[in-house]
Order: sequence, then C-alpha cells, then structure tokens
Amino acid sequence: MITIDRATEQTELAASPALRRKARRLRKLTDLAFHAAMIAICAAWLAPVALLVMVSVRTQNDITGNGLGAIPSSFSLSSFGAAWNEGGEKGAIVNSLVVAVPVVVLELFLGSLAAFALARFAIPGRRSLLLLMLAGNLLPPQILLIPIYTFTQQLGIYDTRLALIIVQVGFGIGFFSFVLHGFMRGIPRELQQAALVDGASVVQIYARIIMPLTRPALAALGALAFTWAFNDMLFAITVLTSSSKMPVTPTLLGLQGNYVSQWNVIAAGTLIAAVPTVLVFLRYQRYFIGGLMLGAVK
Amino acid sequence: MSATATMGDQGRRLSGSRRRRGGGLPPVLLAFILVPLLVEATWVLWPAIQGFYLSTLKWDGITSPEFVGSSNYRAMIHDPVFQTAFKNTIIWLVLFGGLSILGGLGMAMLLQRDRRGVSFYRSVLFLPVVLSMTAGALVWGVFLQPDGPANQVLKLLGLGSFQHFWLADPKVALYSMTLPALWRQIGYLMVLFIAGLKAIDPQLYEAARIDGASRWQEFRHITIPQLRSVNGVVIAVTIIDALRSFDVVWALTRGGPYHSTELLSTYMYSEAFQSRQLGYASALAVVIFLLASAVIVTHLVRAFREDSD
Amino acid sequence: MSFEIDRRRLLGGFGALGAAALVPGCATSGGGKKQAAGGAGDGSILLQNSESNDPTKSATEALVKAFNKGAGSDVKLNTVAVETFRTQLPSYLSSNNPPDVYTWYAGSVARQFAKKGELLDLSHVWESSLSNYSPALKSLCTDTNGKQIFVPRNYYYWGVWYRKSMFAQWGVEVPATWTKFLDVCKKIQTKGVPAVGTGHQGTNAWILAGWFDYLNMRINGPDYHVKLLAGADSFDSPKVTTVFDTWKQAMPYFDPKGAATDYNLTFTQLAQGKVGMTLAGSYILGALPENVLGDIDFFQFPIIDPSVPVGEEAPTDGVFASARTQNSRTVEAFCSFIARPEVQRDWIAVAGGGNLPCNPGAPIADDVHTKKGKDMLERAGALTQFFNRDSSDGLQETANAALAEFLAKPNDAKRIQSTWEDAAKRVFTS
Repeated sequence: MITIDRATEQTELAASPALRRKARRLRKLTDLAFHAAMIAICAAWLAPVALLVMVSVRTQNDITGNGLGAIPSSFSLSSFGAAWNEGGEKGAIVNSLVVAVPVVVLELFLGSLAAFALARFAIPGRRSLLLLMLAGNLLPPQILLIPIYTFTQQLGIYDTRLALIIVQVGFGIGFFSFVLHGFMRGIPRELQQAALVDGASVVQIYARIIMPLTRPALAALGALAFTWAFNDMLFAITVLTSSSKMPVTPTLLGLQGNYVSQWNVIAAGTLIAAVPTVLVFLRYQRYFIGGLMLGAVK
Repeated sequence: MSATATMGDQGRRLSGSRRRRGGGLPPVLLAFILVPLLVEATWVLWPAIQGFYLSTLKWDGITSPEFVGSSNYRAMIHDPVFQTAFKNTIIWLVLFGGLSILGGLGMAMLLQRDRRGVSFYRSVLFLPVVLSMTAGALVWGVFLQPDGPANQVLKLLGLGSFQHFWLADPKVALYSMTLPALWRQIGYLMVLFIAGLKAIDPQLYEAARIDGASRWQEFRHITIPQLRSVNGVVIAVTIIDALRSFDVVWALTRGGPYHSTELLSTYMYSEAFQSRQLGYASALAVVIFLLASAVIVTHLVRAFREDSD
Repeated sequence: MSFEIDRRRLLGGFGALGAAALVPGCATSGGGKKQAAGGAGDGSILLQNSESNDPTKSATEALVKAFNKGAGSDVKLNTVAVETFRTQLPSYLSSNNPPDVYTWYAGSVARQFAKKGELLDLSHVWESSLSNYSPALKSLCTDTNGKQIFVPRNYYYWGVWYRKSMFAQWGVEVPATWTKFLDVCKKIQTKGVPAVGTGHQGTNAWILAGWFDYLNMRINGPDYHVKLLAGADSFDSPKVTTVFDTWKQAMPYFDPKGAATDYNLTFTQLAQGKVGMTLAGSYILGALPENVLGDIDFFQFPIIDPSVPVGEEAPTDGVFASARTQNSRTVEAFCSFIARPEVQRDWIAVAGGGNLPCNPGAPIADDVHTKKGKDMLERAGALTQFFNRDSSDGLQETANAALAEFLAKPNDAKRIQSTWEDAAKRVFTS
C-alpha cells in the first residue's frame, strides 16, 4: 500500500535489463491495483456530488412531484441561471473573492512571521506565546460573535467588507501561526546556522531559507485558508447586514425558504460556488509536486 | 537595521545556550511576533475575554444584563441536555477525530507521489471540503433517509436487518453523522499530511532501502517519526475541529431527535441564538474551551518535552 | 424606556442630535443619520426583509418598487436568509444605525421586542389607515402598553391536506370529528397506506407543534392554549396529559418513517398517494407539483369536544419598525402603503402560498382553497399564530424535543411531559 518509489528508481538505474523488465511488470500491476482502489474511493466520494448535480438539473415540479432522491425525469439548466442572477450569486462570488484574497495573503503572511520567530529562535516564553495564540482557536467561534459585533459597531466599521477581512485575519492568525510553527520546527537547524555564519539577517533567513522550504505547507494552508475565507458564514452574518455585501454562503442560504426551498437552485448555486475554490486547489497543488529538495539546499 | 549586528549572538543562542536568555533580541524578531499577536489579541483574545465575562451574566442580548456569578456553571450540573452533549462530544472527539486522522494519513500515503491521475484523485477528495454544508445536508439527508441509497444498498447485500432510520434513531444518529463529517474532513487532513510528507528528506528513504528496510519498517521508522511535527499539528487541528464540529450536526439533525445528537457546540448555538440565553451559552463555550485546552496542552507539553531533548 | 435608548445612542456616538429625533413629531430631523445600513437621511428608509426565497422575494421587491414610484421617498430593500434574520434580529434592532422596517411575525414575538422598547409606536398608522381592520387583528398587533406596533400584511391557514381522488378510491369521506378522523385513518391503513404523514426529521421537528397546538385547542380551548404557551400552566398538568392521551389514539396511524424524513418529502408522498393525509399550513400549495393542485384539498382539524370554542392557526406576517428610526414619516407612509387592499392583493398574487390579505377590503385570490380557508378562519372563535409565534423560539426548542420523543415513545408521555416542563421552566425564568 505504501508507495515510496524514489529509492526504487535510484536502484533501478543500476540494475540489469532483465531485472528492470521484471520490476516494471510488477510496478504495472501495483499501478493497476492502485488506480482501481482510487477509482472506487473517488466514486464513493463523488456520489453525493453526483446527486447534487442531478438535483441541480431537475425542475422544481419534478422535485416536488417525485422527491429529492428520485431519478431525474426532467432536465433544465435554468437553475444555474436562477442561482447566478436572481439568487444573487454573481455579486456574492465577487464579494467572497474580494474578502478571501486579502484574508489569505494577510493570514499566511502574519502567521508565517510569528511561526518563524517562535519556531526558529530561542525566544523566552515562546511556548507560552504559541499556546496563547492557539488559545483563541480553542474557543467555539460563536462565543466571539457578540463581542465582535459590538466592537465593529463602536469602531464604525460595521457592515463593511473591511471589518470582515480584519475579523477573519484575526481569527486565522493563531491557527496558521501554530500550524506553520509545526512545519517550520521540522526544518533542520544546520541550514539556518550556515546562513547565520554567512552573515544573513533575520529577514533574509525568513525570506530566502525558511519560507522556500515551507512551500508545500504554505500551498496546502493557502488552499485551506482560501476555502474557509471564501465559504465563511458566521463572521459574515455577524459583521455584515447589507445583502449586497454578503459573500457566497449566506447568499446561498437565502435560497432556503421559510417553508419551501428551491433545492435545484441551491444545488446549482453550491456547484457554482465550488468552482473558484477547486481552481485554487488545483493551482496550489502544483507546489506539492516534487516536494522538498533539501539535499539541493544543503 | 541592528538585526545584522546581533546575528553572531543569535547564532550562539541557537546552538542551545540558555545562559543568554532574554539578552538583545533583534527588534525585527520582536515585531515578527508582536504584530500578529496584536491583531489576534484585538479580534480574538479580547472578545474571548468578554465572552468569558458573558458567562457570568443572565442576558438575552437586548435588555440590560444581570450578573449571576457562577450560577450558569452550576446550572449545567442539573441540565440533562448538557450531560448528553458532553458525553456525545467525547464520543465524537474519539470516533470522528480518530477516523479522520487515519483516513487522512492513509489517503496522503496513497496520493503523495506524483504520478498520472493523482492530482485528479486529490481534487476529488478535497472537493467536499469546499462544498457548503447546506448542500451537504441536502444530499446526505437523501442518502440516509428511510428509502434512501444507504438502506437500499444494505437490502441488496442481504443485510436488510441492518437497515435503520439513520438520522432519526437516537441510538445510531450520532454515528451516522460521522459519515458526512468524515467525507468533509479526510480531504482536509490529507492535504496537511501530504504537505508534511513532502517535507521529508528523500535521502532518508534511500538510505533505508540500501539497508534493506521493508516498506512497513520505512513507515514505522522514517515516515512516522519524520511526520512528528505535522502530527502535532494534525492532532491539534483535529481536536479543535472535533470539539467545534457544528455545521454537519446542525444542518442534519439540529441536535435531535430529542437532543440525542446534541454536541456542546450545537447546544451552545441553540442556547445562544434560539433560546437567547447568552450567559448560559457562553458558559458552555468556556467548557468547550477548557476541554480543548486540556487535551491539547497535555499533548503539546509532551511534544515539547520530546522536542527539547 | 427613553432613558435607556438615549444612553445607548450616546454610547453609539450619536449624541444629542440623534436623540432629538426620538421625540415624536421631530421625526424629520434625520440629518444626524450616517450613511450605512439606514440610508442617507434624505427620507430614505431601509426595509430588512426576511423573505429571501422566491416567489415571496419577488413579491416584496415589486411592492417596494411600487411604493417608491408613488412616494417621493425611497425604500431600500435588504433581503437576508430567514435563519440569518432570526438569529440576527436582536443585533439589527440594537445596532447604532438600525434598519428602519422589518418583515416579521405578529404576536408574542413582536410583543417581546416592544416590551424591550425596540419597536416604533405605529398607533398613528392604525388610526389613519387600518381603521377597518378587525379588532382581533388589532389586538394581535398591540403591545402590552396598548400601542399598535405591527402592521399586518397577510396571513394563512392550516388544515389537514389530502387528495380528493385518493379519498374516493379508498372510500373515505372528510371527517369532521376526532372519532370519524380515527375511522378514516383506520380505513386508509387497511389499504396499505400510512394514514398520517409528518416529516419531522432534524430541522423539520417544529411541524409537530402544529399537532400539539390543534389538539390542545380542540380539547382545552384556545384560551387555555395561549395561557399555557405564556407560562401560566405547566406542560405536565393533567390538561396536557389529556392532549397526549388523545394523540396516542391516533399514533398507530402515523407513518413511522415520518420521524426520518423531511416534510417536503411527505408532501411529495401525499401527491403520489403514498400517504393519506398531512397537517400543514397553506404553504403546502407552493410545495406541490402543479398537476396535483386540482386534486388537493384540506379539511378543518377535526372537532374533539363540541363544547369547546374552535380555535384556528392563522400565522400573520407583516412589518414592524425600529423605535430609533430617523425617518418615522417615511416609515409610517410605507406601513400605510402595506396596509392598502390593492397592495396586499398584488403581493399575494406573486407570493402565492395560499396567503390571505389582512385588509378586510382586499380581494382574495380566486381559488377554491383560499375561499375555503378564509371561511374556516372567519367561523373560528379564536385565532392563534403558531407555537413559536405565540411563545418564543426558545420554547419552540423545548417542544421540538418533547414532541419528537413522544412520537417515538408514546408510552413515555408522563416522563416526557415532566422533562418538557423542566426545559420550559428554564425558558420562562431566563
């Protein structure tokens, strides 16, 4: 099951042609098993999404007549248009992006600064500081809502996207500092020490050594941070009230009625809203490729 | 910038000397910590302290609050819903937390190597992380309804006796809900684990191969120890997420039927925003906080001890 | 009350200028109003709308457009999801610069906000524009100080819904009494169809309160029901025990799958003839496929004790306004506008859902259900709102748990009643 083949590749080069052929055949077989297993897992994973797609292309009449779980007996793409236009998703996606992009950049930047300082330097009380920063994330965010609401009112930034950005960054910093600290802690000491001997400054060590080595973690966290910021609901409804400023999730929720919901439009809206985040994930995924070349840096 | 000037000193301190503790930190480094800390303190820590204060009040959010001391906490002892919620939260922590770590690590091990198809598989597993739970609840509600696919598959397999009202039977509803929760969490932890795996020095595996180590031995003696720092992160993240799990349960059962799937987080939300008992809800939040802190601090203290040799 | 408000305004940084606007008659001094949620102080107001899904959303959009066209002033519409609205309403009302008008529920819900001094006195509007409204509606919209704080726009009715053709096929007739209802249930069940569908899984648990409301009203009378919901009697009283005992008689005919399904699915099953009847509000009409609308009908919840006055659920929607609005003249103009017969007619024409206009002079929608529903409500001795509207969202939570458990374990009624009473007590003493 565990496939770590870099070493195999290395030894293969030195092996005889016959051995190499045998190894290749074996690999083909394990490859086949791997893909078969993954396709099965992915099918299970996609089943709910497939149902969502099915619901999104049905008409309201079909859904109310046959139930949500039924096989579609109608086909219409109008729910996508309804979510996009009447459902207000067009504006909501823009709002989500306007908030999520600065949030991700600021969160990861500020988080990486703190993580770098706490992970790479023997700062007195650094563990307590780290725990303090994490402490904010141990609370259910719901408890923060009323104080945050009052505070944005007092500052006069209630119902502004700026407030939403600041609140989300504040909430994310502790988490990302902690997680990045975990990753940065694992980077070998010698690298930094060599740079110090060469007379590099703190900023240089941060920018030229530690950050590049944290790239896979930053990519992974970037994708997650974007997802959370883009899909946020609780903070948005707490600091915003104008529907024209609402991000995607509260807007989609608006399609849920008091008594009757337009499930086809909600399904279509959810699928549309997933597109930006999946694109971001695909983009960030490139940074996973190859992983770390620690040897090269050494 | 004076940072460069103190570098030599910095280097010495890094090599493990504790004698010079506190002496001459470069101001840049101080700013690195203080700026993020200040932002967090303003928007999270200070509101959190206010939240703690709220837990000593009787307040509906509109009329003027009344100070009641510890009575919100004392009320919990006699509150049967709190007891159920507390018990469910612990079950959820162990079950959902444990399974999501195993699943996330398993998927990461399978998908860490870049080859054909892998980026597609990763994206598929990540997709549920992205979908809103409003839609998630819709599809899982359909899957788990009495005549839904879950029961039909069981019937097809001749396991008809295992059919349940998955979300309505108080004996199984909490466990049923781990499915949608895992569906959303595994892709997330997979991403963290892949990032950790990618940071392992490939030379370690090469060396192990030359020594004739088996795959299991590689996993045991290289992967797991090398993932140590990431494991710490994942465990902390999982504890936080498990204790704060909210939207899956809220969307699917609202803590019902009759509080049987109530978690501390859902109970807190309904007390705060349905029953308007902000004081009691804040006290519940404090309990969640204490629970999370206890678990995480125990874990971290051990991790730090190992770390500082 | 006014001291409280003044203090809050000062804290909000508005100062005396804003406070002056509170004095009735000085309402035009809206100059202190900031840009943001509430408009620019040019006479414009903000309508915070909780009806976020179509067709009600479109209906309200059209209503606002019509008002803006007629009046020189400007109503801005801000629509948020109903669940968001429910949780944020106290925040909206207590914010520095609250939205001016809100679409929400009449009854105890509105009265509770009025008690806290958050709502604008709309007695003027009632005097000038709503004088022809029924006394019952007027008292529904009146707070504990005798002031009107709510302008009703529409209401709807509840009934037991069934398919005419299925009833004919099963050979059963509409039952008027509880005994006959039980007979009908029995007969439907012999055809292999569950007689009564609910659909109270998860977020749908509230619909069971409809059954409780009706049984309690039919057995103990509407007066007792309202008192019980206000905390004057306990949920473990013998009177409530009778409700559960009576309900238990029908329990064999309730579809057990109802505990695990969404009520929308129950409507679908009703449409397909897979379930015999369901108790629901007229909103069911918006959740059924068009091809069965002609075959669908409802009957009044059966009479249990003919000596008890008949009460019916008639949940009423409309608007109330923030006490701290700076444009009360526009608010009043807008409220008067909503009270007009043709406005209500037009709104309902778009919104549908079996809604009835509150203005007695307004024409009702031209369909059999609406006429029948209106007749039923007019014959009723008393109208109630619904469990949560007559009490609070907090008490509704306690009912959800208790009633769902009762349906699962009807024999544990005694224990469930006392658990319910404990939970309710906590809501009332909070």
